[in-house]
Amino acid sequence: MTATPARRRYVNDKPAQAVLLAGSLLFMTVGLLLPLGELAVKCLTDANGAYVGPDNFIRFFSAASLARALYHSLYVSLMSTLAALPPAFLFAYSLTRTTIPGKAFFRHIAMLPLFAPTMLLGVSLVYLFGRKGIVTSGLFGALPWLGIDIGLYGSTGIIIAEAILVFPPSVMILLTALANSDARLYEAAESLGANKPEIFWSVTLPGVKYGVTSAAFVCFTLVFTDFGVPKVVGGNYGVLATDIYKQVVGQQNFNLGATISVVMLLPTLLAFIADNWLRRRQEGVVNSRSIPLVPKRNATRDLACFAFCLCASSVILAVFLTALFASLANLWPYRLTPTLRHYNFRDYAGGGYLAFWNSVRMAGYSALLGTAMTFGSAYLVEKTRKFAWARRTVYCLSLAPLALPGLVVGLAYIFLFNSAVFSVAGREIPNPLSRLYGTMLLLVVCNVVHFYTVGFLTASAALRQLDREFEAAAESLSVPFYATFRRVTLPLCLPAVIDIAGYFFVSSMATVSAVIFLYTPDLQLASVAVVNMDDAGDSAPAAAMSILIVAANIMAKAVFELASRRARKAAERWRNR
Amino acid sequence: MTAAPEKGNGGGAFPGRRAETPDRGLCVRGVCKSFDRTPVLTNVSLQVAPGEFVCVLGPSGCGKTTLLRVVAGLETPDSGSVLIGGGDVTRIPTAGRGVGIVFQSYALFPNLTALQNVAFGLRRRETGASSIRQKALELLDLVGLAESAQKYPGQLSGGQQQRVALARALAPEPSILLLDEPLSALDAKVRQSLRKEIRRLQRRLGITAVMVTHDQEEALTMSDRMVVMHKGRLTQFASPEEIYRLPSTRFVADFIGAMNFLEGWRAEGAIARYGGIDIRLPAPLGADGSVVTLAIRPEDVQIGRDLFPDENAFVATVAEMEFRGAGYYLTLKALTALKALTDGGKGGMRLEALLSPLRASQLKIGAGDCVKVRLPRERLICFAEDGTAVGFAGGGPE
Repeated sequence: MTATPARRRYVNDKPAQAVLLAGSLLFMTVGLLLPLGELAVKCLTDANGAYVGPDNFIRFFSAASLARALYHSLYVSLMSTLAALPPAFLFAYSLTRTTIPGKAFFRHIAMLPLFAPTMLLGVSLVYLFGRKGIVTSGLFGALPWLGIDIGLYGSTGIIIAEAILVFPPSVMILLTALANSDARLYEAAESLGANKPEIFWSVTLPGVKYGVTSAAFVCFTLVFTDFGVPKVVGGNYGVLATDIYKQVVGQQNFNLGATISVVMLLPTLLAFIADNWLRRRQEGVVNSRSIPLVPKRNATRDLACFAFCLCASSVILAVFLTALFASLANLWPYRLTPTLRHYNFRDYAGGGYLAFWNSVRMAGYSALLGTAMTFGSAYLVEKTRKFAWARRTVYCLSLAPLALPGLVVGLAYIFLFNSAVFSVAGREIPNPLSRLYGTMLLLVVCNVVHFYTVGFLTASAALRQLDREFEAAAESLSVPFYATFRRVTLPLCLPAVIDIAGYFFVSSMATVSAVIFLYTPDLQLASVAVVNMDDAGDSAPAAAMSILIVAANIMAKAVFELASRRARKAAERWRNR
Repeated sequence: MTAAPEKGNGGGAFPGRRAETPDRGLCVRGVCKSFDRTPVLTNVSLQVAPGEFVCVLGPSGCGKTTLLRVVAGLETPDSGSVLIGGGDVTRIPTAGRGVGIVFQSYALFPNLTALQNVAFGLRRRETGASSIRQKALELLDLVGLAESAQKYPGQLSGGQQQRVALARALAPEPSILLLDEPLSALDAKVRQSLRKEIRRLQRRLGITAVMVTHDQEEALTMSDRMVVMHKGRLTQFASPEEIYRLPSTRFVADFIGAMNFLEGWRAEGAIARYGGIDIRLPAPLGADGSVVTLAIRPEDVQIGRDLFPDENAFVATVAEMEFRGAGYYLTLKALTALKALTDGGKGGMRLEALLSPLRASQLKIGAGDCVKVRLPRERLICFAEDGTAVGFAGGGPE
């Protein structure tokens, strides 16, 4: 036996991991906990900072217009959810359980609304169904019999636009639910003599039950908290989101704004909790021994499904093409000759191309910081063994942003970062965080926190697929954790990392709700410019700016998709001879 | 090989520092560990001599993998200490312990070639890329995979992957090798050959090795000594022959191999009585009049047509006869006085015997036959009512 020493030279991982975990906790504290704390303080105090208890809430519910706004919000959320779910289900069903051609095309078209600021849907609907809209005017008088006024402004317009808006996330959730099927269940049902409708009710639907409820909760929450659509087509139909904006930006009533945002937060939180509770009950329907279902050809069904997908895609395309058409038309509806003059934003409010490039930069930085924070945190939570309590805390904090509407995040940020002093127990202390106000960094942090959970969960799922013993194996070889991370973990998770970056870019580019309170005249943003131009009645440049945002997102998405595909190809090389 | 643990001759006198003592190899002292207040390891101590191959065997949930992870530093014990090469490493993280680990899942990095995997732990230790490459190639050669150096793990068979994992674990010259069920994911044939290969390498490098397994055949064939664990405690630590021949508790006897347990015998000196049958024991039991259980392996039960000229014989009928390839399993029912005295207990004395095909054809035995059965005195084991073995000639285990 050689006298090998028991000890080996090594780098102790513990201090570095402690620092990283502390960094992650600090980020979530400053970016999430402190702003929410300020929000809670604001809704319990008056404009002078005196504690008033539930007075603000009493004021909210006794003001008829505000209470009505709550009812309106609930109503349009429910109706849009009901309007969006059946077509979304049929669409997802067609893409997973039939043999129709062009599935990839349909899938991409369905995702289009995700790339746009939500105002685009409103602007486009105005051009279709508004007072001078294509449909309302009977194709500009060419087809007078078509000229119907659907009374767009108000709940009708909101519900139509929101139904299109929530179509992509519902389709995505239902696609996942329908893809996780077990062919053995269908074979068993058939061998027991069940007919097609019976199989649908007894096997298909129960299998996607959770997907449907989850999609419903997501739809409801998205509509309930959306600001862009009601801002454009709501007219006098006030909802909570526009009321918050009015209170804060119009009347500078921060305390009431905070109160409304807490009222808005409650149903969202309930939906979030209910969804998580259902998810836990649903686990384990499909296991590793399941055999995926391969759809069989059925001419009648496939034809019907194909026709439906074509219709749904046409609606989405029509909305986008209308916006494009409107942005190019010289003087709607009188002179429709094409011009690029609306793309020259010099004469309009909002900041023009400066704002556009600011948005691109912000989206790029958000993609960088967001990916680093979410993947890094997920790595620490999933793959390190020390500091169990800290990792648990990071995990819980990472899930919270999913329940937070963008308006609430933005409002909480302005409360925390725009006040020069904190008053603690009657004493005033200077707020060091106020220096961040009006900086690009704050906008980026706001976006990262707003979209944190989806990135974190994607990273977690990718990391969980890796062998749990990789880290132990590397440790026993005296390789420090960061070297293993760089050489093994990161390369193996590269496709997921690229997906996360793409998600952060596209979401940050299109978002308006969180950043509308945070932009300053020196740092304008494209999506905010859309709101401001539309507010000023400049619909055509608003449409033009929306189109630019969509174009930037499509290009960015294409780049990310290409990179992701290359990364996946590299992974295939490791598996095949 | 040292047999007696718990001597503690100063191996841990200089915590955190390599102590110069003859106490090399691995030493685990009084380790306790619980998860969420459920004890997983209770006061586990063992000493593995340098160059020794020890298997830890037990049913699932007995704490064997936790013990290995404590030795590796992947779990911190609640109390007790771990010494490697004479130095206390209880507070030292895995990276500083100099342990090589081979996992059930291989845990090879799928994005690195076999060569890169083996070289993974060599980066910092040696300087010069060419010498690292040289060493990694040598190790791959050692496990017979030099020609697969540039392949990715996904392109190798399970057995090949585990050999790469073995080479990777051995590359930084660890002072002990820990194997966590390394063969259980493999086919029977591959498992057989890899058993030999692991032992060959371990002997050749003279490395101390601890392997966790739930496969008793693996433990019996590979170990110098083996540990049997039960409910978080170390039940027996001895050579495979001793564990098979002289199990220290009823649990060990039952867990390893097949065993007949004959209940309810009254001990009187070196004789056990049950319903008129007197069985002579290998050694006198301490307490006269106490109730003991006799145990004997099926292959140790002797069968004959005539009365044996010896003691410990009685008559039985063959209730069942089952062919099992290597031999016949007979289920025997004892007759004579026993039958009268089965006072509602277990319905008479049943025992199983393993008969070689040759002997079976010599005796021309079939189901329903009456045969003479003999329980050779030196092959009998006695268990007291608390399940511990009693009355060994050479003294029982702790």
